[in-house]
Amino acid sequence: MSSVFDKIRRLHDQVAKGSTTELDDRARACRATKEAVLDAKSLVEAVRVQLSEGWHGGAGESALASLADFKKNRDDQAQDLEESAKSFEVIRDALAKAQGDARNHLADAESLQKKLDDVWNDLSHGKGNIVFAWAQDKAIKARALVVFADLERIVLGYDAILLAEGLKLRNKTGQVWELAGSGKRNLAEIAAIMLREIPGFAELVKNDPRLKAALLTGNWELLLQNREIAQKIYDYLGFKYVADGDYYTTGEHSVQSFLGWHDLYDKLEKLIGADLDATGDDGDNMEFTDPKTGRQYRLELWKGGYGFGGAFGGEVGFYTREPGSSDPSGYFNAAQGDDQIKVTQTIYNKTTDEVYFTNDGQGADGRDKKHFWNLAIRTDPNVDPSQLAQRATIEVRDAGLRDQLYNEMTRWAAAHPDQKLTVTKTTDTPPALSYTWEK
Amino acid sequence: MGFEVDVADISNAAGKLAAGKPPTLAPGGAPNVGATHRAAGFAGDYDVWLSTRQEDLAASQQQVTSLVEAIQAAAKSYDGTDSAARDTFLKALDRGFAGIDR
Repeated sequence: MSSVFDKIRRLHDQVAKGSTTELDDRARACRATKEAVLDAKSLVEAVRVQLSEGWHGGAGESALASLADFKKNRDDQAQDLEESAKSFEVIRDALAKAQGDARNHLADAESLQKKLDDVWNDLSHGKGNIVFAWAQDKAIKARALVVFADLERIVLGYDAILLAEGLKLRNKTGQVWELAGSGKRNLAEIAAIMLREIPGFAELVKNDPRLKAALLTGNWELLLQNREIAQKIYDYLGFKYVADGDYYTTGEHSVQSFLGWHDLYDKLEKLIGADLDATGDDGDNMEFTDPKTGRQYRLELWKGGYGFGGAFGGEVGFYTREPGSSDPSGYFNAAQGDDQIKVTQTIYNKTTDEVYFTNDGQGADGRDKKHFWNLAIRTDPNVDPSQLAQRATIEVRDAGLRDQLYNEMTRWAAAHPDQKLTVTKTTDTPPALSYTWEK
Repeated sequence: MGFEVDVADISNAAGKLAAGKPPTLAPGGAPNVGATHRAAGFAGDYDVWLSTRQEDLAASQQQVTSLVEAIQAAAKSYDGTDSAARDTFLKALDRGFAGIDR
C-alpha cells in the first residue's frame, strides 16, 4: 500500500506533466487562423462592394446576398476561433495555477515527511520514546492527509475545467457547413461523458426512460428540472441543496473555491445553463486595494436564471489577490480566513416586492456563516429572471475594510446608474453594509 | 461598351475572390494538459474540435469556389442578356433603316 506521501507525489506529477506552453501554442494558432479568416472576410467585403457598384438586377443581387451571407459566416468562424483561443487560455491558466498549488503542497508534504523521518531517526538514536514517536507519527500523517485532501480538491477543480472547456470546444458546430464534425459530436457521446464524470448520474437515469431520452437528446432543461439530477450535477460543481429554504447553495470546498475568479472564466455558466446579470460584465469590477497590506479585493454580484430557465437566484462573491501574486492575470482567489464575509442574501421581485428566499450564510463551513461566496438558486421555471432583484447585508472583519468596500460599491453604483445599486452602511459592530440591486 | 466593362469588372472581382489565400488551422495534436483523470477525455474533445474547425474551413473554401463559379456564370448570363439586348437593338435599327430604304 502506498503511503500518503507517495499519493501526494503522484497527484502532483499528474498536473506537473502538463505543458502550459502547448496550450499557449494552441491559443496562438487559433488567433493566427482567426486573423486569416478576417482577412478572407475583408476580401469578400471588398469584392461585394466592387460588385455592388456596377452590378444590378436579379443575378447581381443574388450574388451580393450570397457574399453578404458568406461574410457573416466568416465573422462567426472568427468568433469561434476567438472563443476557442480563450478556452485554451483558461485551461492554460488553470493548469499554471494547479501546478503552482501542487508544488506548494508537495513542498509541505516533503517537509512533513522529513519531520516524520526525523522522529523515527531520533528514536533509533535513543532520543525521545516510542509513545511520543507514535503520537508524532499519527499527528504528522494526519496533517499529510489534509494536504492530500486539499491537493485532491485542486486536481478535481482542474479536471472540472478540463471537462467544461473540453465540452465547449467539442460542441462548437461548423459555421459554413453546419454539419461539419457533427458525426463526431453526437449528443450520445456527450451524454456518455457526463455519465462517466458525474458519480451516481448513471444510476438516476437508467431506470427512467424519460430522463434517459432527455440525456441522449441533450435536453438539459428537462434533466435539470429533476431535483436529483440537478443535485448530481450541482454536487459535481460543488453546489448543495438547502431543504428548509428550498434552494441550492455552494460549499466552501467546491470547485469554485479552487477556481477563484478568472476574468476569462464564466464559472461553468454554460454547463449549468445560466443567464445572469453580473456586476463585472463591462470589465469594470468592484475592486479595491487595501493600502496597508497591498492585497486586492473584488466583490461580484450575480442574479438571474440558471438551469436553462428552470431555476433562478443570485450570488455574492468575494475574492482576493495577493500583492505580487504569481497567478495568471485576472485570477482572484476565494477569500480565506478573516477576509471571508458573512452574507445574508435575499432574492425578491423588484416590481411586487415578493420575497422568494433568503440565504443567511448557508454553504459556509462550521457555524460562523462566513464564506467567500453566497449563492442561492431555486428550481422554478415560472419565475421571470428579468424581474429579480437582490438585497444583502455583508459583514466584514473590521470597519476599515467595510469602509473601503462601501467606497468602491458607491463609486461603481455612480458609474453604472442603470444597475440601480444603492449601498448603505448599517452597523459598526459588527462592521456591515447593506445594498439593494434592482437592475 | 458599358456592358463589356461591367462584365469585365465582375469577372475581375470574382477572380480576386478566387485568388484569396484560404485560411487554414495549423494541425497540432492535443496539447499536453497533464495526466489527470479528465486528460484523455479532453484529448478526445480536442480532436473533435480540431477536425470540426478544419472541415468548416475546407467547407468555406468550397463555398468560395462555388461563389466564384456562380458569379462568373451570372456574369456570362448578364453578358449574354446584354448581347441579346444589343442584337435586338441592332435588329430594330436595321428594321428602321430598312423602313427608310423602302
